[in-house]
Amino acid sequence: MSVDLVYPPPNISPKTALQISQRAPQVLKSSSQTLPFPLSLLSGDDTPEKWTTYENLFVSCLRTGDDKSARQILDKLLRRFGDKNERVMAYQGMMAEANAETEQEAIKMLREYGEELESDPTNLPIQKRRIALLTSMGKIQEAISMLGDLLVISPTDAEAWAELSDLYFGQSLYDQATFCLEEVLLVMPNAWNMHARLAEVIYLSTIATSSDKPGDLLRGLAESMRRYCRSVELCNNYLRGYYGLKVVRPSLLPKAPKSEKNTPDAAYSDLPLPTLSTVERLHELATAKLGEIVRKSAAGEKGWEGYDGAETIAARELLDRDTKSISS
Amino acid sequence: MPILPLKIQSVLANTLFLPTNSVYSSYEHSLTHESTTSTPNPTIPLDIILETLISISILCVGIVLGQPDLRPIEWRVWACEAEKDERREKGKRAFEAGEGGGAVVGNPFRFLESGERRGFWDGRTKRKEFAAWVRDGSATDVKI
Repeated sequence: MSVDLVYPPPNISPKTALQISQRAPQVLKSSSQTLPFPLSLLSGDDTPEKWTTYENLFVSCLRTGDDKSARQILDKLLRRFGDKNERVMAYQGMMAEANAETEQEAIKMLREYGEELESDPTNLPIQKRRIALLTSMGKIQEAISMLGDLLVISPTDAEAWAELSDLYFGQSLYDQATFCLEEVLLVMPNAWNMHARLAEVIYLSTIATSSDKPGDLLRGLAESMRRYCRSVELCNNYLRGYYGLKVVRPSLLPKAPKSEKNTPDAAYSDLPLPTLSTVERLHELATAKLGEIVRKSAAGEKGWEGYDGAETIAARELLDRDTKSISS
Repeated sequence: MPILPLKIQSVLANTLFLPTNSVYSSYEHSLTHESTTSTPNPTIPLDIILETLISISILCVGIVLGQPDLRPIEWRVWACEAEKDERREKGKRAFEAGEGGGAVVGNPFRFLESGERRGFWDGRTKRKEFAAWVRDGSATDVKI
């Protein structure tokens, strides 16, 4: 299977990364004779797809350690966009980082980034590189505080909010992680994957922190369920969303109120908690949908290909567990 | 305007000849009748009328049928396909780049997922992971 270099699949595995980077010499060779920049616009060779391909190749080459091809690509980017282009500057940084194996080298890189940012504090790609480098060195606290500074000057940067959320989540600071994802959704309210991610974070944090507080538990699980519902509302047959709906149900079921009238904690939120019958009906829907997705994608039906193999296996296992608990 | 499929294009090109032919025929007809008779409204023969009507209707139907599939208006229907396009190969996607406008292929919000944020790409860790995968025999995928 050949990977589309302009639009590669998500979650590239080491094997695929290797396949991609092995194609680098060939791609570089096929476009070695090009005119210098202003003239290249006339030849029709200067397409956005070409540069996207180069960027994707560059990242894969760095990952697999093919520094020679990475260098060649970087040279091409430098020749086309110049060394003052912020994005190219970030790529130069990425190349140097990948080769900075020891702590000292990494610290030297940090210092270089610092100098760069002193001359131009608005250089967002370099700011992000510095944060990424700090994260890779394990200095999460510093990375978090720098990311906070970045978001003060650029509060609509959804990518940075999502990164901050992950860093907080890694530190088990669930409320902060939730807040950051809510900010992402303020910037991009239709991002169905982020609705699902928020639901996951809320579910995990609720299970981890409030298992001894029934009010908080019920409220958290209901909120998580609502977010999953929103994700499947925004994206038909969304495996991740239906999977989540099915996972939330066993913890929510014993606590859900029987009818809307005796909702216990109106003080917590203005939205009424889901009733028992709502939870059950959502669960039935999720089971039916997951079953359909697993069956049809396994059969390779037209229009049903394109699901992640690992995700469908997980969904099948979840469904199997369900049938076992019924039959036993 | 989107490009029609080649087969339909050639049919339409051939059909375009018919109305041209009928216009020319009626012109010829009017010329010959002008010289012989002096009736104020010379009638156009039935075969020319039929040729015009049939060829125009074939053209209309052909243009409509020849259009590529429309993109869904509903967000959720589009999102369902866009989500799956992420893992489909080129040529098998529901929406390819540049077809019917827009260069977006796959989920436009993918860059928010962890591991997909290019701005925060962690090359050092990725490289170590890759080296470990190679050491472990590079047979299985680490990420399952």
